[in-house]
Amino acid sequence: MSHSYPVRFHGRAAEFFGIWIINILFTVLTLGVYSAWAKVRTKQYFYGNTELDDARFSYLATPIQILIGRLIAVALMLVWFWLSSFEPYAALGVMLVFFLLFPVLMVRNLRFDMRMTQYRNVRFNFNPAYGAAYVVYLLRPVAAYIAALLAFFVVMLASEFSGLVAGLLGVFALCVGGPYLYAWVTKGMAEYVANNLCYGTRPFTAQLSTSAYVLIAVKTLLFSLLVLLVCVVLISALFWMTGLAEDSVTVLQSFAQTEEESVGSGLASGLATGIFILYALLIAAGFVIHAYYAALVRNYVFAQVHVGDAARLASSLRPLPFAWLELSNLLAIVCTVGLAQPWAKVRRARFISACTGVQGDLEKLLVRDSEDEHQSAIADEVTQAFDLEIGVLG
Amino acid sequence: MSGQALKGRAYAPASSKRYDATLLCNPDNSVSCFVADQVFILQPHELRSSPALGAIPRALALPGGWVFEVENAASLQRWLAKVAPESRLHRLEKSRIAVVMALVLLVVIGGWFLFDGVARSARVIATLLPASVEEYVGSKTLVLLDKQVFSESKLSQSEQQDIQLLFDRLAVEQGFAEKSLDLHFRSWGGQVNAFALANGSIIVTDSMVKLAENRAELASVLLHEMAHVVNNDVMAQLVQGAIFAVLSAYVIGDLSTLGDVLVGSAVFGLSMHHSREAELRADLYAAKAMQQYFGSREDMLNMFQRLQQEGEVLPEWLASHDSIATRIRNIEGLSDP
Repeated sequence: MSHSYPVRFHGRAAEFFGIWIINILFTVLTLGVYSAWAKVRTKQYFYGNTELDDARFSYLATPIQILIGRLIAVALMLVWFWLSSFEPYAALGVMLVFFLLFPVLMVRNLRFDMRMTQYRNVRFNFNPAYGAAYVVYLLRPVAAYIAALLAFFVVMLASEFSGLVAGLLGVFALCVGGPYLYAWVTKGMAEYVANNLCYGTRPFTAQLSTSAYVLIAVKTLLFSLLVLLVCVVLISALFWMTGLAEDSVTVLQSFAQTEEESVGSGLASGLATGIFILYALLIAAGFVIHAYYAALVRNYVFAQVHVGDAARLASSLRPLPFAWLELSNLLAIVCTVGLAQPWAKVRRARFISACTGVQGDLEKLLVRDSEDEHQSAIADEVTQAFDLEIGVLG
Repeated sequence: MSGQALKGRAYAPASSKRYDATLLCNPDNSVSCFVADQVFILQPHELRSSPALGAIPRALALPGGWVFEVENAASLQRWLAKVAPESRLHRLEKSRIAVVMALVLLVVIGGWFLFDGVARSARVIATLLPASVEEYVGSKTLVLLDKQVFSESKLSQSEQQDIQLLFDRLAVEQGFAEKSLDLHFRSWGGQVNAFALANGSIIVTDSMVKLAENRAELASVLLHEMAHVVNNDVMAQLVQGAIFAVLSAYVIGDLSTLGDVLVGSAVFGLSMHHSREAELRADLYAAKAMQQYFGSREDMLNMFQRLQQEGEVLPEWLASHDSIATRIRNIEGLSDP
């Protein structure tokens, strides 16, 4: 019998605020050492408050695991900083090694995260398929870059002969080739992750299609144009209303003629503020576009993921409300100098949970936990210190 | 809840199979758990439960890998609180007073650190750094600047020697060890400027030399840069920049770009504030020396006025130096010795 099981999030902002502020205070007082405990506590809070079919998720990693990983990551960072300021070429070499090891770190990271996630007494797992990881995380992206470069050269070459042909080729490359390449690369990563995930011994499977990704990329492209148009309108309105336009002309002129009398610093200050607003607006636009894209991809990928033959995932994240959620969270955090962060995190978890579910029959999903083995947080923390996030199943 | 039965669920070891289970709390603080056709009896000291956190229902570990969970757990929580006291941490997180105090403490620590702590620790670290680091950073900087922006000075040999003599005399008077300072002449487009580097190199541009009407005016500029060397301002500034960079990356780790920009501009503003303090100190040092060697600060003020006529485009809050007008006011405000 097929059911629809919603995911529910039970966390409360006020409750989490206490946990969050104590985390920060202790982290500061211990000069960062407590951050490992803080991370575990935060993860435990969010996992433990996520409920599916009357059962909670739980996070199993211990602070010591996280701490060891963090120490190694910090040591690596310091070595890298030191190298890059004194021996730039050696630093470049280290960068290359890191680049070549990236797929391995990625897999270890996924494996750690999954094995530390438990639901109904059974842990998730990730099958470490290194060969395939190299294909999706290294070969495909590199191939895509080469293809993009080739396309660029072809367009340049064509412009020697005919501007019209070059223009048409350029538009084609940007509007069709670009989204296709991007879709090909990201779809590969998502498919890899989805097909190597396990719940206990039960594998996840997903058949993703590149064309669905292309469609999402094109939709996002159109949406971005719309967002940018709104930005342009807002900026011009702002500039004309405040008379900044004339000011900036004056300032730019005075920059051009350095020998002239200096302009009042008030004008330059106004211009600096204007540039700041412009910058902030563009970043906000980037945020909205990213959220829009992430929602579409998540909905598509979730719908394709099967857990054995007993269940499949479902996501109904509406792109615009989600984009608004992300943007308003960011604004709230910025306006409260970070104090709204617990509220924003809880709000986000509640929103996403409400749009997530499982379809099928969970009673049939009887699973045994896979064999235990020694775990380390090392790869996990190293990748996080370098901030590599894929968030396929966010 | 003695004697009261609590209905929940249990999972078999390493399995997601769910069983209905009943938990019974006995008067002697032990519990009995009935799962399928088994009974587990747990003494309080055998109790293993998931940690108390927020209002998350706690799970009980039963012998042999079984796990007991209950969704509505108020009575279980009460019983657990009795036999296995909640961690101090959990009580702290729940306490309003503790939370408010933590908030206040953080604001105070954060405020002190940003406005004072970073600059202080940067100075301490900068003095601890070995001289070889200063030498390395300074010489590399000069090589880089030579490659990127400077060209050879067009001042005549005799003029350079003349200024070098003045420089050496000032250095000796100010108590610098021999060869601890280096004077370099460079041309930088038409830029009027002078800087100190980390290793005690001082650079003056041709236009700066030309702007000075007499040697005393130029001396005020050289003295100002010497002050930066004495105070180790360059290294302190570098270390401070590094601290701010690491800090902001850490603090806003998961805030992404907009936060980055905002924190970045706050950091920029703060380091400008600190570097203005360093400039003021350097001005005072130079003013004192001018008074001593030339009998007045007249030439220094004249030099400032000339610099002012060169014009500044940046508003004051964006500039690492106070506006010349402010600096002149600062020097004029000095009480006469």
